[in-house]
Amino acid sequence: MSYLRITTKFFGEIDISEKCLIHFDKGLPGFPEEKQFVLLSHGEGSPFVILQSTGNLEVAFILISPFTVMPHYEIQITDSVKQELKIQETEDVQVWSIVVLREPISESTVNLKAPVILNTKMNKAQQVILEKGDYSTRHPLVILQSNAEQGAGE
Amino acid sequence: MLVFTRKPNESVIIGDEIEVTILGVNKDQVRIGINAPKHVQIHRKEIFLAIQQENQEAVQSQAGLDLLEGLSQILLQTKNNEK
Repeated sequence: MSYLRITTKFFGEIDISEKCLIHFDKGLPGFPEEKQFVLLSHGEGSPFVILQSTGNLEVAFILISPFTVMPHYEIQITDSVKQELKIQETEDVQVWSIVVLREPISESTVNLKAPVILNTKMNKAQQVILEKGDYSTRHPLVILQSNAEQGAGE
Repeated sequence: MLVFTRKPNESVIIGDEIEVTILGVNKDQVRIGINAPKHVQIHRKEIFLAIQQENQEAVQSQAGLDLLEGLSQILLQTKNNEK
């Protein structure tokens, strides 16, 4: 098996197996040139993972499952996305949302409007923009206590 | 920029495969229909720009692993409280 040494934004130099490479054939909006990434664990028990470009250490996205943020999150993957990512089985699909960390942390948001769809079997992924569904590009990531109480009463 | 004048139900062809049809005009709104191959993604521009902007901000954030660790704790706690 061949390994690749890459420099990462958060973890310095690491070795990754070539079979872990994830291909974004079209890049991502704003980053059309970044086509090869790797998913790195943030740590045991953490809900976050890091999507690191193998070609540019500065390009690293923090991801979280949209279902962690919004349990009733629902999307439909279109036939064209299924085709492009060569998706055959639902269980091969992972859905991730990109987090924008801001300070204070209550300002941090998550993009539910444009999830990253990953076919774990083929290691192909794409960020899709949902035309249907009323999801925000800036959904609050953490709801601080006062808001949480309001939410519970709804 | 190429500029055409079109009436409702008239179209423009782009390349061999993309057809843009004016479906209706209503004061300050125009309804357009687009026929394009599936691999051509079509989005409202402002939404595409917003996604680009969010991606840029996600990458430019200077917040580090310590903040992520803090958030991770908060999320886990919230989850435990819900149980």
